[in-house]
Amino acid sequence: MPDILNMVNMTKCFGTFKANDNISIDVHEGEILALLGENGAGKTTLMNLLYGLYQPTAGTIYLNGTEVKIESPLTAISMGIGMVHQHFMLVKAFKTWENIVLGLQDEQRTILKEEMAKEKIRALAADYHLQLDPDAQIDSLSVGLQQQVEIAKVLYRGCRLLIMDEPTGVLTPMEKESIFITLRELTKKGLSVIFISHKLEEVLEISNRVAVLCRGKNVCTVNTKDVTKEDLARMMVGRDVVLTVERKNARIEEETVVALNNVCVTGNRLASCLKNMSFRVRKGEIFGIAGVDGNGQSELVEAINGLRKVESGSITLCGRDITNARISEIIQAGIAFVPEDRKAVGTVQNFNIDRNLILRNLKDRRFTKHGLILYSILRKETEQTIDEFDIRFAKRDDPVRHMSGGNLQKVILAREIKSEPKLLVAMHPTRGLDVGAIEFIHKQIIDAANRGAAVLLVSTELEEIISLSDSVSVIFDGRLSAPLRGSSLNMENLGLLMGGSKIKEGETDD
Amino acid sequence: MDGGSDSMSVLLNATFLATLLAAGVRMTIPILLPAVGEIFAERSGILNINLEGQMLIGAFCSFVVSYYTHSLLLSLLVGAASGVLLAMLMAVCCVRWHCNHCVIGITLNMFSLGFTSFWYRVIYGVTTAPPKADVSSGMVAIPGLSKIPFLGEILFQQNFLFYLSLVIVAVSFYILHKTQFGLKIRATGEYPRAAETMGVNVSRIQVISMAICGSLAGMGGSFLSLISLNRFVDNITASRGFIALAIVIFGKWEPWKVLLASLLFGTIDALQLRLQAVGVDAPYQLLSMLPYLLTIFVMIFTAKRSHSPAALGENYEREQV
Amino acid sequence: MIKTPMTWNNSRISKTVLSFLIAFAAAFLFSILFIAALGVNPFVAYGKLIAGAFGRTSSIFEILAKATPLTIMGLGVSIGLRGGFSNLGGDGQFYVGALSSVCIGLYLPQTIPAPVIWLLAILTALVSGGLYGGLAGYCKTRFNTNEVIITIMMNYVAQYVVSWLVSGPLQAPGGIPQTKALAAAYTIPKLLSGTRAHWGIMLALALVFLVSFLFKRTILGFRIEALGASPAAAKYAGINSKLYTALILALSGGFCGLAGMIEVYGTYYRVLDGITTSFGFTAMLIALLAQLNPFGIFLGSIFISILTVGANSMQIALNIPTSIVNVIQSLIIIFILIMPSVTTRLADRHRRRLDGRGE
Repeated sequence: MPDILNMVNMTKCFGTFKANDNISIDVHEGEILALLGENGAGKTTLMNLLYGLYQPTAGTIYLNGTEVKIESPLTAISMGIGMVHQHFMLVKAFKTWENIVLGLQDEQRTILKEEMAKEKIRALAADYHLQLDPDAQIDSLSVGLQQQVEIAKVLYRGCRLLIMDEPTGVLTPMEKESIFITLRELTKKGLSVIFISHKLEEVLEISNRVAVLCRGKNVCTVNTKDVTKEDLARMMVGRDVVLTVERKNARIEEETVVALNNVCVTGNRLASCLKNMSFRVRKGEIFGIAGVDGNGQSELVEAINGLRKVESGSITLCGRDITNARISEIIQAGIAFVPEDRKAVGTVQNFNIDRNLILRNLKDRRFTKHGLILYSILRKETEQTIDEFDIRFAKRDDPVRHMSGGNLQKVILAREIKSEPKLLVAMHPTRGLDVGAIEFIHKQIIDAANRGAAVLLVSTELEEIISLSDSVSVIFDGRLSAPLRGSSLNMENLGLLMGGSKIKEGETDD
Repeated sequence: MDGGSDSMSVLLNATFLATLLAAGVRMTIPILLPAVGEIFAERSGILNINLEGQMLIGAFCSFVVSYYTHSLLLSLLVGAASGVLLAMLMAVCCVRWHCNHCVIGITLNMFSLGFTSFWYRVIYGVTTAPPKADVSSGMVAIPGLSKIPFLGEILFQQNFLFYLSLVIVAVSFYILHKTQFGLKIRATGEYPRAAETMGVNVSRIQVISMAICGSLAGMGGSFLSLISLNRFVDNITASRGFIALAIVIFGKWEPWKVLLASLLFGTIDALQLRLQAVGVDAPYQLLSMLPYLLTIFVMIFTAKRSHSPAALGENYEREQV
Repeated sequence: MIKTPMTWNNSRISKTVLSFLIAFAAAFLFSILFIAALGVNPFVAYGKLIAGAFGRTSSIFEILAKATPLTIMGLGVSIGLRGGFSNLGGDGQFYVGALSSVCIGLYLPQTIPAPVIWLLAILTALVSGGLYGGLAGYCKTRFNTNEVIITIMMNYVAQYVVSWLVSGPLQAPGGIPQTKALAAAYTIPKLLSGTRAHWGIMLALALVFLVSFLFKRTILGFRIEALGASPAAAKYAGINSKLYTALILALSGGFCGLAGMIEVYGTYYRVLDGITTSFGFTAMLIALLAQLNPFGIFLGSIFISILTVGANSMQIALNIPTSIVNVIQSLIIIFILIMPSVTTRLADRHRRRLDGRGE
């Protein structure tokens, strides 16, 4: 089979960070190639290079044997490459046909010929077995149907190579089957598909071959029928486990600090709605939640902290019901929260360190009295905190906007930990930080647990989760797996669960 | 004197009603034109608070030109062009320099006020007999139809600008809903990133939309100075630009609905003037404030249910790669 | 519906001062063009302006008199801006405050001592202006109306209602649309007899300190600023945005109402039809000019008042229309608004050129 696409030695650097490191992949005509990897493995970057959204630092792209330079999405489209993004590029207020026809330079370039467009769309739908209603308004369509429109958009423009970025995250099981059928139909017509995913089952089900990416490198490319789930899981998470900080002498008490009971929460996408979630974290325990982004972690963390409505079920803190309580009450009750967005949510960028340290504790009697903030006392405390947490900055009173990510995170962590919370929720606490900062933050989290706080740690970094947590559950599709502890807490099992598969029976403790 | 029933009987008199509605139609023009222009601006994502200023500049420049050329057409053209120039300044500040739309709009309004007052005083000085715009009134009587009793006076003996406005409304509807250009405008105001991925030049679309808006606003302002009041006074627009902003919301960003809303406001405007003239037993101030009060109510009852362009007021940054 | 986040560049002092200087210079350059176009020598014109402003004692006090309500309104508008809201209803709130407070002085028993009356008048103005402003805030939270348009419309409503009242029910005998004058005992004494400035300026200065204190030291000020700087972080911090929206606009309105009271009790002694002339917009420009700093607002008010008083002299002497003040004001603000973006773009282009050479 001829190759429709060869990407040779693709490298992409963002500053000093190598998102893609000498990756070579090829796609045969008429096949479905899966691109498998965790968050940050480099899949989306690679495809953005192919689609012209990024320019490569090094490497060449060949289409049908000829070398090409792809400067922009328009160029990619004109060469027959089409991309269906994770977040659909659809104008919700438009009808289906309007979205498809937007920006066309052919007969639709001045006056819109509605009937002609609709005819073409219907023909397309019949040809490729898509479910399309040209007249339907996008926001009345289910997510699965919206995806069909996105596919129609690229097919209308003569796409021969289709890139699907994590297509099933938003779909129901039935819609998933539907899209698989569609993709197979497309390949029968000679189109080729690159299928980006982190889900092992699906990759095994739909693809002809799998290219596994890990930390920016292509680990290997194999025929799908030659591998097992376990093989893929191992390749996906990699074998290098760098354990820097270890949790020793954990003292976990029986007392439950936080418990969720059958909590249902509406999420941004179908996959991230929480479905009857129940778990508990005990005093002194570090409970890790692993999983690929978009499976409900944000929704869970927001629900606990009062930032998102809980539709049904209950959340209790030390026995007290805090479901849908006001945020100020939840803070008072003793829940600390290190959010995933440290710039837009965790801090006020225009405020200095002192003010950010008091952001969530405006009722703290030590620093406030009669509606006034006692900045002189606060300042002494801040000095102590800066010392303790080794916070570096250019000028003492500068707005925190000028601080590095690591130091900003230290500020947030300091604020949350020093409030002596009953529960500390930390989401992606070390994302984007250097090794030194990571180690420090890990130590702080462990210390907090040793002092008796219950810690809920949400992260996509498996080493972090394994080294810090006492038990780990994996979140997938809005549901939690049974907790893994001890010997069952290993990379392979985590990889399997993150990919949506079940691990072998008898492998979970407890 | 039994003021109440006398006034009522006056009101219900057919002649009064006819003149009232005819005036109402006429007073629609300085609200309708800027409102239609604002539809283009807002549907491309720019909250053009500077609408008032663009009207004012149009009113002033067209007046000055009319003074020297006595040509209605030329004055209108210049009025529209001056509106475009100011709109371009606003566009550059928002699109290129990412200013907050509200803040720069307010500032440019004050600039227009100062600018027009300044140059008017400079050119004409302060006199007891302010200069008049010596141009044709632009009244047109449509042959045949204008003879129809009642309706003829209201609809078919109007200023040509009214008929032009109707054409503009129809053309605007067509552009927005039936052309690729209109599709691009709407996409830009809803989801600029998606539009960009489909090859739409977001900045260019926003600038062109602002140009359209400026020209229509300038024309609307010109009507005030050339025809309606027949002279220029400071702040001749009297916040009609802001009423137009509210009308766009009320009319759900659709040209025909905005036409209806403008007719309503124009009629209320004419009504309060007539009632004052007729001597209805209500203080004139309470009547004068009707349009503004109506605007408030309109906003309260439509804002929540309204579907404004999703990206309205946001500054779009192209992705840096 | 429409987001108006105001992110204030708390950049280094030197950068701010530099952009100010450039903005002022550019604006004055333009104004020189305008003046020159009239055939007048710009230096002579500005000479007249300065002479007019500082030449006589009465004009200096006139500046102080004009700056008093501007400062108070500017403070009010700045509170709104810090919370992320553009309160353009200053004029309307001014009217409401003026009328309600003058009624206190006119219709309460005239035996009540002046300080008590003043206290009551101040409270009335604060409350009435606050309710009027808070109403706009309430509409925003409840009905999601855009506060810019609603406050401007409310200006007209207030203006017309006051106009009607002073031409009708509250009109003083004599036929002019104005209320009776306050008893002499109730007027705020002048700083210097024969001039227009009055002790109300002390209140304005006190409010400058108060607002500065509010934002430097109080929890309330902290919350307002957090909401304006980062609504998402404010929510995370447990700040109730609905409550604070109404509260911020109420505070803003209260200040503007207070400005009305001060003008009535200090300068006009009654409410006339047309007592205010677009103070509200000027106050917003002053707040922007001063980058929301309370002391800067006072200085900005003085500056604008100097321009206004001086421009009057310029007009009398050289026939240059006073509206040039509006032009200068707005040009300064425009340049200040675009400076950050212009400099960022220039810096980016410079950096890219360096990168290109470096690679």
